[in-house]
Amino acid sequence: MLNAVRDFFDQEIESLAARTPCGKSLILSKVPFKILEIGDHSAFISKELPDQKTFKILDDVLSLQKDEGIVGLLYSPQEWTMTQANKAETTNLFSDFLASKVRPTLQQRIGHCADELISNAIYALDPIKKSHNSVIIGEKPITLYLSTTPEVQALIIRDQHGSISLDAKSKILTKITEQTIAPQMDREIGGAGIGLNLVKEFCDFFVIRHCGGEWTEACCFFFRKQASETPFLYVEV
Amino acid sequence: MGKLEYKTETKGDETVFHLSGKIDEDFRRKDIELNDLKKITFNFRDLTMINSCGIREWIDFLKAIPTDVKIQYEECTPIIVTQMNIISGFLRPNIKVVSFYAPYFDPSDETETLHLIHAKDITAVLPPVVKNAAGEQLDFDAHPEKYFHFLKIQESV
Repeated sequence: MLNAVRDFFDQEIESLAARTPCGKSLILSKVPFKILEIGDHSAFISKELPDQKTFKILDDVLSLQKDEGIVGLLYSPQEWTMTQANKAETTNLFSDFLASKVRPTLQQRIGHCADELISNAIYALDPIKKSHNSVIIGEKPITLYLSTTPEVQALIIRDQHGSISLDAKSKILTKITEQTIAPQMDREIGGAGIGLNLVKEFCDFFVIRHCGGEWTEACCFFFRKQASETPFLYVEV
Repeated sequence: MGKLEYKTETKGDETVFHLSGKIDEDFRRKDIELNDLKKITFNFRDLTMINSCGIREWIDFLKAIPTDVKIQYEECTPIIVTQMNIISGFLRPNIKVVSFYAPYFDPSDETETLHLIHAKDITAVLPPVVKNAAGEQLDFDAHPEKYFHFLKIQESV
């Protein structure tokens, strides 16, 4: 699989389909991403050849089975369960932990990603409906994981809805590749994908894994040295 | 992290708004009283967050300011720099970035520091050289072309 990714970046082509170890097709794409109807395919989008660290994570994530979460790849992650009742308290606990473990500028980047992804989780990652002051839907809490090692920090926000439609998936993949975003000025229809684009800018490798009707996990990896372009992986499991 | 607060400081004909807290979905243009000021500076040093809904409100706020009002951004944090780089409307023809923070990394003790840079000191998207107390050069801890992209945007709006 990784050889296919390497070969792809050696070629003067914009996109390529390859097969993952789990048997699914993976679309490799350099920005701009133009294939919108991707069905059950996964998509890996990166303008430049990713570094070895990203390659390793890419391989690990693509090798996960349906019942395995990305959290299993993290070293000694801290976990918080967020419900509507404890939303403010959990946010404070998370912020305090972050401040005690991570250097100041990275704190801001991780804090921003958490803020955006929690609000996405509330609306099941639909970038159209987004609002930050809404309630957590029903009785299905959101789970936050944070792993901090000297080399890599990782944040996972996991919901229990898995309700990204094909249309929403297309929008996510389109928005994530835009270099400049014009905010949607109508408060009733959310931020129109600004949040996801900010997350992509603030982290160094951004992964969304979606299991229809069951769960979605959005994972941000932060490395010591920022890359010029953040690779993005979307996996439908 | 609290809601947006600010203090003002008058420097001649210029009024500096020192912003702190966060700009989010609760921010509205009336929350910052500009009256009929003609020269405004927004200082972002203590602003902890501006989320995606806050960005929409901030741009709505900027649009309501008459175009003959001169606006300066100073002490922009890396978070603000990122947003200037990718959000259309964050920079407008009457806005000038005066200064911003840039991240540097000291390999000798693996510490990260932010250094205030004046926009006028940036030439050809090369980060200024910063040294530690021992005289060793620090690593610029971002991708220069990407980080300084807002300077090009500023010239083109």
